Amino acid sequence: MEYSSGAPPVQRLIEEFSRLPGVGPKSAQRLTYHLIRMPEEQAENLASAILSVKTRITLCSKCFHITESDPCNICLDSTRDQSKICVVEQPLDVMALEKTSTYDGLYHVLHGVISPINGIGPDDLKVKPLLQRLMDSEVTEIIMATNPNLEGEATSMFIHRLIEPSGIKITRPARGLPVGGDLEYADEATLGRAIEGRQNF
Amino acid sequence: MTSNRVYRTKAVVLKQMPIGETNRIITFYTRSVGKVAAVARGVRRPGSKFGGSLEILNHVQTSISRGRSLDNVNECVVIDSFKNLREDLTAIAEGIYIAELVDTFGEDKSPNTRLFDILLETLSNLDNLDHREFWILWFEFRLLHVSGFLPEFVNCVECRNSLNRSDHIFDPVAGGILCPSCVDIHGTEQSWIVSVYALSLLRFFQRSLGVALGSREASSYPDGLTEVKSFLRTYMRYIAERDLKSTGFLDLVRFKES
Repeated sequence: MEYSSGAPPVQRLIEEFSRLPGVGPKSAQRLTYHLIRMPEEQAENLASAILSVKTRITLCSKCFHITESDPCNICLDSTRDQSKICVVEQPLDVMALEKTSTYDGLYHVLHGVISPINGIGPDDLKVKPLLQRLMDSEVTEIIMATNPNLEGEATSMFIHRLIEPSGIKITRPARGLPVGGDLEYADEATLGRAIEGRQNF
Repeated sequence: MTSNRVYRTKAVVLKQMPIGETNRIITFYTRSVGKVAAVARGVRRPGSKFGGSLEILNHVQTSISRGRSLDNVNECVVIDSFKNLREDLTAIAEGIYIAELVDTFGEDKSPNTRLFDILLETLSNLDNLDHREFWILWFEFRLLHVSGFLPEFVNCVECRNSLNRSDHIFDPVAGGILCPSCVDIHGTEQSWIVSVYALSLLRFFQRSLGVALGSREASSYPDGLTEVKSFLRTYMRYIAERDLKSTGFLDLVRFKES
């Protein structure tokens, strides 16, 4: 064992932390020793927060966003525009779009992206439920908000191919220069799209 | 490989993997160093200096510094992003398949300029959007050639006798076609029949190594394409000792397109 100096419970916690994304063995060790020094009450809060996420959080059966109640609050909100569905890769994307306060339609979370090189295909995502949802509802516009990279684009193109025959309008967010970014660092694809999609001052 | 801490090289981005908050591990196939995995820090942040330069299948000029475990990407400028390819779903699936092949057959930090050159040439051919199936077969064939796995198609691989114009038995363990008298002695359970049409295309490929093929050749070979496709795929699966992951999606989009 790499960290043989710790007692078995300490080693176990280090191992558990190491399983988390972005946490290496050194960080896992640091987090564990921080927890050991932490007041018991705080540690209990953390443990119960982790458990409640696992026991109380589920996926919305309509949009597959993470929620405490099914359907989720967004799907239940009758003031939202029921004719628009924004398709995103992850629940975090819903949160990011909600922060903008400019979108008032519904969502559909795919829970991933088509990644052929990693063996992830459309059947591993929530694509079929999306098609089913479109058949049963009066949606008139689908906004494909997958990430603007090759795999995100491939996912959007694939879903576009499936939905196109239905005649539903399919749109995607504009591509262009990031706020606070430098023009000189923009690559040709981004800059080209930004020029194509220019708007009146 | 130079001994400098920083190296500049032309490269093609093969794949990406998110790591940490805003970083990605980028796998490049570089002209001067071979396959390299390097961390691009902050690349997932909007406004990152890398912009979209590290997109999969981009041909780039990059500067990489050596790190203790993984190298770091310092700079990356796009030479060609193969714009047409990116707008066609099937071409994207084909491009990713090519990238997976290079990732599988390319060796870490061991340069193979011929492999880099055929990768780049194939991406350009795919970007032109014509005869893509032919260009992929031509790439696969040359990939086997430059990686040292090309089987024998002209003579019997065991007795070296020339083969008559008919269907023959191919044995991946022997590494080529076996003549009828050698099949009984050297044939294994893994062998399969290759038709005269497929053999004719494979021999054409073998004769054309070192020659630049154009769209005239690509359009003149409809016979045997399907069989050669399955031949090369089966043989590469035998060498790689695993299924290639991107073939499932490639077959799905090709099927939906047809």
